Amino acid sequence: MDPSIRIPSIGPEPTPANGPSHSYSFDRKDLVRNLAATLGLLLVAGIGALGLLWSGWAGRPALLGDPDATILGTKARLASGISEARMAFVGDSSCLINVDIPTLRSAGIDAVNLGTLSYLGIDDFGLLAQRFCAHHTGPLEVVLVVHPECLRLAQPSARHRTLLATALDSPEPSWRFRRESLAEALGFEDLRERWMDRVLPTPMRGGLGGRYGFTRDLQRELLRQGGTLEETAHYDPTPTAASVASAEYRIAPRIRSECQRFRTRLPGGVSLRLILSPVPRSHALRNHEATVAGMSDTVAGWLGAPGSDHALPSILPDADFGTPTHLRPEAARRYTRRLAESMLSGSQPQPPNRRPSP
Amino acid sequence: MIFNSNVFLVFLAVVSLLYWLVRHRATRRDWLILGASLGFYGWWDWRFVGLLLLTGGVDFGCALRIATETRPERRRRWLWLSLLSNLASLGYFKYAGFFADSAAAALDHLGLSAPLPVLRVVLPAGISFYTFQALSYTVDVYRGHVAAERDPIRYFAFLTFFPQLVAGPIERASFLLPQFRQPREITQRLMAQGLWLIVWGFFLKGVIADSLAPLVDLAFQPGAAGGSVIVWGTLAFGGQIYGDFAGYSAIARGVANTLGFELSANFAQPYLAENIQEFWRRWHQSLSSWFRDYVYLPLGGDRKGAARTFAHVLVTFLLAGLWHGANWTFVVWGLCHGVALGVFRLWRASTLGRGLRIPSAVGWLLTLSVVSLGWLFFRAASVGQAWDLIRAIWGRPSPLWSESYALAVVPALAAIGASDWFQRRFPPETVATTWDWRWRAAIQGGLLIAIVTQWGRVPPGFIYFQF
Repeated sequence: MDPSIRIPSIGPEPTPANGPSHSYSFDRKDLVRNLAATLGLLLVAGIGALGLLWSGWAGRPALLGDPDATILGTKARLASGISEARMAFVGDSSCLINVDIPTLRSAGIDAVNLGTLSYLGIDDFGLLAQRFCAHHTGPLEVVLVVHPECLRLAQPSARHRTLLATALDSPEPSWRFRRESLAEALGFEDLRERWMDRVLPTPMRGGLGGRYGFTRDLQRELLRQGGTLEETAHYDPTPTAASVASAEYRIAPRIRSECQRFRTRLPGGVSLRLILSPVPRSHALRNHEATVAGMSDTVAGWLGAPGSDHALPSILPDADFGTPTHLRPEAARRYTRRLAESMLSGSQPQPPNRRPSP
Repeated sequence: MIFNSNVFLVFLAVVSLLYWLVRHRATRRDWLILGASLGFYGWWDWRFVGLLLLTGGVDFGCALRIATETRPERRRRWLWLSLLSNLASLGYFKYAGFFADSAAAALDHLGLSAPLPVLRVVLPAGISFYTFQALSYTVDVYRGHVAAERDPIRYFAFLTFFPQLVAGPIERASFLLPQFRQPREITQRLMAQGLWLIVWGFFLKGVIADSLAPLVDLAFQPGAAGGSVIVWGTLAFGGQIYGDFAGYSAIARGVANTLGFELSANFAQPYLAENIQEFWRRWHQSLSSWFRDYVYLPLGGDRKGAARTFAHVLVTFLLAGLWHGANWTFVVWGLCHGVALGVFRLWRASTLGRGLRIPSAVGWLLTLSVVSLGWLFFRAASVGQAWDLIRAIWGRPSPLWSESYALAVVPALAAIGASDWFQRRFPPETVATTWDWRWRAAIQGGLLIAIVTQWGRVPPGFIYFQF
């Protein structure tokens, strides 16, 4: 037998059931004071934070907390900045990614891309266009670029609308009491958005993170590229039940009033053009071109803009896409060159000849 | 159930209240701890509670037979039964798929494709931790270091004790089991220390580790980073895993303290180590001492010459690597540390090593470099990705956002340095016994503000839960 091995034994009998198992001998006063002071400090900090926010002394949000906020903040800056641009592209993420401003500039068209990644309504895009028109002079043109998908989406996101209002420095106070988490209820979340986000870079996830890294770098690149964002994903054309169903485009009832509000935001004399973004070939139904032309005419009619621009394709090869709605960077440049040619050749879209009901 | 979730906070409050109610009856305390622990574990996946009870039950029975049996060969037979049941459970749930995949890949490589079964087994949370704790119990009973427990409820309360069930510290029966056999006294020191450790642990995990998590993800995203970002990202992962695991261990100790129990400290400012041996005396102490006592020393330790010592160190660390997970990245991580520690021991034993004194800063930097190289393999999805990342340090330019990356990582790493300095200067025991309540509350309150600000920004979870 190994000499290091001692004879094993069995542990003591189970403790009698009526014996004490544990006792509390700590100073209860110390515990209560300690806990009360710890939690009290948290509460005092919360009251202080809410006071700073309520009084406005905490300043405005840095709009660098996530990609949505960053893009909206940057687009508001681009719309408000003094530039030679006479043309503004506004719209959804297909505008943000598919319209390549450096390509337009090299073609002699000075423009800014005010497209966003956020779920906003068409009238919200009008707020950015309105800001652009207010800060720029000369004969101005606004191009509304939306994906057919955008015309049937559910209600815009309330959070994104608040972010846009904040980005545009709306006169109403941008701080509202939130209570979805303790950090929000105590005002820490809002202070973090105002102070910490200015100091510490915020990393982004996924493809956007891989390409742009941090929100402040995304902001810098957006400003450098006139507002254009590059898609990093690769589109998988394998059809799924959801993708087939989602190809059946239609116009949501709310679009009509949104278009009318959009129009009212633009000053007289500003010309307006509508472009519906292309879809991947594998995603398009047999009657896609006709459907989209009809939708384009309808929406253009509500906007008081010319109808379909037949110079621009409504379907492109799958290989051109990063996602079903976003073009890869090379394809976006090719698409923008066709857009520039269409604009420079002076070919105006045909006036709408149909007015189908939504 | 996960510590950094709202449900755990409610669970802890309820268990603490019930614990106070059952203080007059010893058996009720053990029943309560067992029930709470099984509830804690079953909250994640109740199906694996059965596995836990089954393997634990085999160990309980084997230990009793070892203790009552006088014939050595019979005792050895019961020990082997316990070892095999634990290793079989660990092997099937953790490694079966890995070895089947590796064998298939090797055969493929040789042009001998064989239709091996594809195993996709769900890994029970904390299986490596509780299996090792159970293993050490029967081995210690066999060695006569601890008396076999005859009360099954007490034994299972010890084995499944919820604060340390899924991610340690891996406790020895000789340390924890006697605590269950004695009435516990929740003293002033234990209560103050417990609260302090809980808050400190949540800070390490929720503020430091969770702030670093998205930065690490960014650096290790395939093809995204190059140059200095990979170096910063690897350092960030070193900080993340430390904050994550040391935070968990601190919360576990703190919760146990509030119930009147002591758990082993698992970390002692490991990044201040000036050589790799010292690092392993400070990092995941309960695991490193487990491997020392149950693998390295039984292999022969350093008693059989330099070459055998080197081999023993290497085998021990390869097994430690494999313990972490069924992936070759962990094996390479173990190899890194095994070679580094083996070389260090040879150096120390050599004439040159005995005569030459390496400056502390050089030793610290060398240690940090070896540890970081290990972390790079540890974090990478595959050995191939790890090599790609190493090559990308020189072969791929830093992305445009590398400056932002450094700016984001440095404050978190500085916070770890400050936290380690503070803990070395003011250990929890000192704070609990000598500090005025105002100072404790002020620091706890400050940490709590940071915790609340960060709470919920990253999905709850701990890195070591996957092991």
